Amino acid sequence: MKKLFKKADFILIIVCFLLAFAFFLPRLDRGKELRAVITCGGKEYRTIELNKVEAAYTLEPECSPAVVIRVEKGAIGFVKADCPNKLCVKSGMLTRSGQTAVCLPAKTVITISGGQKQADEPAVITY
Amino acid sequence: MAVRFKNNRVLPIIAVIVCVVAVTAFTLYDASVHTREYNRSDVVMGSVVSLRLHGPGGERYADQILERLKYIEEANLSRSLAGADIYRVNLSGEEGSIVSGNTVKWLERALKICKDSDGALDITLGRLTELWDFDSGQNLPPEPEEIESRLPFVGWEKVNLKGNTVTLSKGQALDMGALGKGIACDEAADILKKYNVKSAIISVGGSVLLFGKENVRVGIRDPKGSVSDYMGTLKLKNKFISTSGNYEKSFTFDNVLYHHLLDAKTGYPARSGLVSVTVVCDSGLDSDALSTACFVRGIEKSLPLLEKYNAQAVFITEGDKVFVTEGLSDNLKITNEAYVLTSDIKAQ
Repeated sequence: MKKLFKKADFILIIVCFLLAFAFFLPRLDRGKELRAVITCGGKEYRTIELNKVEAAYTLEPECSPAVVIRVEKGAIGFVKADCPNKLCVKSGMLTRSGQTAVCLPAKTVITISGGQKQADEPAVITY
Repeated sequence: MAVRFKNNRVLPIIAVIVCVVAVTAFTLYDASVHTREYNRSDVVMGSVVSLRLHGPGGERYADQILERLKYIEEANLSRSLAGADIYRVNLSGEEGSIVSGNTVKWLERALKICKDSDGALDITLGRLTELWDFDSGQNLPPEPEEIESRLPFVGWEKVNLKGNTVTLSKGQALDMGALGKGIACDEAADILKKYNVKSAIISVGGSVLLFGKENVRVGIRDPKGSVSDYMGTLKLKNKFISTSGNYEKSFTFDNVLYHHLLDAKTGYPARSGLVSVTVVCDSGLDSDALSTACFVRGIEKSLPLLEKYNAQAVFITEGDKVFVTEGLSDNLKITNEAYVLTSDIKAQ
């Protein structure tokens, strides 16, 4: 009687499973990277993977009043703004998912998403 | 008896099929988790608007919502844009001005809350809010005489709404700041309903709309922390949530905190022993307007008002005590131990 499985069949099955995982695994990590999105006037200006930043640098998006954004490894924030109350600068450096800093007059928003979320972390904050 | 294929190779064929199904399932799962969530932030109505939509077409619906919010600012609610109903009402004053049906609807509901709250909410604070001008960054309280001189222009009961015509008393100015964000959440909910969007979380300057069947954790801002800090969470679904706090639009002068939640009776920031009130109900306008009214009224006087509007609330006092209404007590989880639950309606 012939065998139900042949050696080649096993290899085929293993290759199929490996292919399935190879296809899927890199995507498992997507969304876990700490990512900052900067929007100016409703349009996306930059998306930055914060943990991949090597040397700190500053960004000056074209908006009025002018703002300066500092980007470091794992952190981002407004460091200078030509608006009256400077609420955006007072927000400090953002380091956690869900944090937001805004310059209302310049219509510039920095939002952090991704990263490892704690189980109890809220999806949104009322203020 | 099993059907026998040539060479008896039934199992391997099944195994290959399983693998193909696995790849498809992984891919579909991945698509549903990642690409079907659409996030967007913008600044509308002088507030940060954040939208998170689940399901297909997120970008299109987000565009529609943002367009709608810009429209109601420009056509209805703005005090400073020449085309807006409120701008024209303030300009025409005693002579009266014809406004759109939506503005009539919102004014009617606002005036009802003004009445039910005994003026703790007052939409005629315009002359006082322009005097305090918390957005200017000047950080100086006005002179007492100046405040005194503007008090006669405050009084919701002097607003005359007849058909589509709004008439104010002399010198009066409307300010819809206490409910504009809530109205924006209502409008967003209408669009989500119209297009059968599965679920969404929308924040208009901190007023939140939870749309959909799944429970979502909403953080309540920590009044002593920064904008991203929360003192606890509320687990809710399909609700509107608004918070009024004395940390927003405020400044300290001579060791006194001055904030934007003005008491229409005094012309000064309300002092009710509270630092923030979060209201949860089934209407954005109500939750926004009630959070302001409750802040001004304090815990005890707020309870009957909340009941009347079928609303629930979380109050935080100056002494870090947290009072929660019965309908929300199971939903609230305090995460910052500096805050302590109380059942004392006179807590400070």
